Amino acid sequence: MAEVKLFGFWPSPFTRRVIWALKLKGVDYDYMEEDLPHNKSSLLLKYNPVHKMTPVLLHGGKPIAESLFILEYIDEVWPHNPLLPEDAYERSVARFWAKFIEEKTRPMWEFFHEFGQEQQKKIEFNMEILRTIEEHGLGDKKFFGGDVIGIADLVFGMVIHMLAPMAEVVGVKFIEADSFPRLHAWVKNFSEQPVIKDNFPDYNRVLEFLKIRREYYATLSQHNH
Amino acid sequence: MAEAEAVVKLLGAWLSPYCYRVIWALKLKAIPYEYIEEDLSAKSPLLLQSNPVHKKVPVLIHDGKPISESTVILRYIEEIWPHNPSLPTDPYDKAVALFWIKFADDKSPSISKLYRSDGEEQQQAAKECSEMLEAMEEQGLIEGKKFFGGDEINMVDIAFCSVAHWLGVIEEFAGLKILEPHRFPKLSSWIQNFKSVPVIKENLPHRDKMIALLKRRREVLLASKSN
Repeated sequence: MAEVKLFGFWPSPFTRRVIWALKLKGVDYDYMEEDLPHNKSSLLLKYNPVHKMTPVLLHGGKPIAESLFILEYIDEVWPHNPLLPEDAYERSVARFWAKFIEEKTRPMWEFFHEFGQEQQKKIEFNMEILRTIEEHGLGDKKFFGGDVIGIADLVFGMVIHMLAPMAEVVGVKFIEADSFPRLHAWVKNFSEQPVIKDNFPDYNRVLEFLKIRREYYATLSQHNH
Repeated sequence: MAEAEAVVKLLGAWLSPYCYRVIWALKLKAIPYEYIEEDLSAKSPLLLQSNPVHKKVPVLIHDGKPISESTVILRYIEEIWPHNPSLPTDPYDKAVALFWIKFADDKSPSISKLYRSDGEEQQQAAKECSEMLEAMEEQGLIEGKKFFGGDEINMVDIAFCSVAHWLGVIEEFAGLKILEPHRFPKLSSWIQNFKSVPVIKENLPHRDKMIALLKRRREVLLASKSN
């Protein structure tokens, strides 16, 4: 069997979704932790020269970058427990939402860099995005993938292990039972999935990591005023 | 007798490179379709209903079912009509192609920023464009290969449409020169080859019409910024 290696960054949702995909399909792999952002390995720079970012999957010595396409690659090479539906139209819907959530991911973290009024604006922005996702993306389904988790679910997982701890550090809450009932149910259902629940980054470790970042942003913000 | 409803409809806007991606994909596979030009200042109920999340073109409607986002549309077309394939079938080669298609998606907005901004903002956009072109020249294009797709164009070539046509027109309009042939020899060849492909050549917006619209848009944008 060809060797599979994953270059990743432990708190990053872009890495985490690949870990979930590999584990859901029972694929053996070696994990190489990258010391981001300042100490990237020479292998990472060699395998992703355009973006120099994690995650990068190496299969039989050949590198693949961009987490969404790593997921599609994994899905194609190991087709059991599929991440994408069979029907072409349903696949286009899944890709649309995976892309939408992916594109909103970093913007949804911007509130964490901001303070005061700017922060409030970004928080409201997040609420708008979550409303769109709940109404148009998830709807009445259990998962974005329907009855089973799919690619869009793996991408949305960041709300649990990155957005939630960021919100906790700042002192706000995004997905609550009364404001986003369907997303709230999704969080519970997704977190209880066997492979998912055993493979979250350690919450407290993420919290500590984020607290240091928040202090850094606070210092920057003071110097800018 | 009632006219048969077109099975494939495309909602588009004549200036949008994202719409041309879909037009070319449909024409390269000889798929008949009905084209509906949208007035983006007065979007039709059909558009708003078909793409409630983004309210943007292009939207493909197949058997009444809408698909939005040009690259999602291209993947759908590829899967429903697999003849004249526009993506490699090998999973690894496909992943590499998808990487470059996303790169094109992520970096192309810098091109339209060139006419939408001035001063420092425009300089920043020019820098971003230059970096995009460098990556294409150094990492994307392979010496001796006519297209990203090899001897024939594929989805990657189509995804870089903004570089092939829109960039040149916008550069001319804005009085900039970023894509210098001596700096980007492979890219310059690629553009010539790409625009010689009959389906592409016969389906490109006209430079004069583009410049007239860009001029109007820029005036409106800069006026609203100063208010």
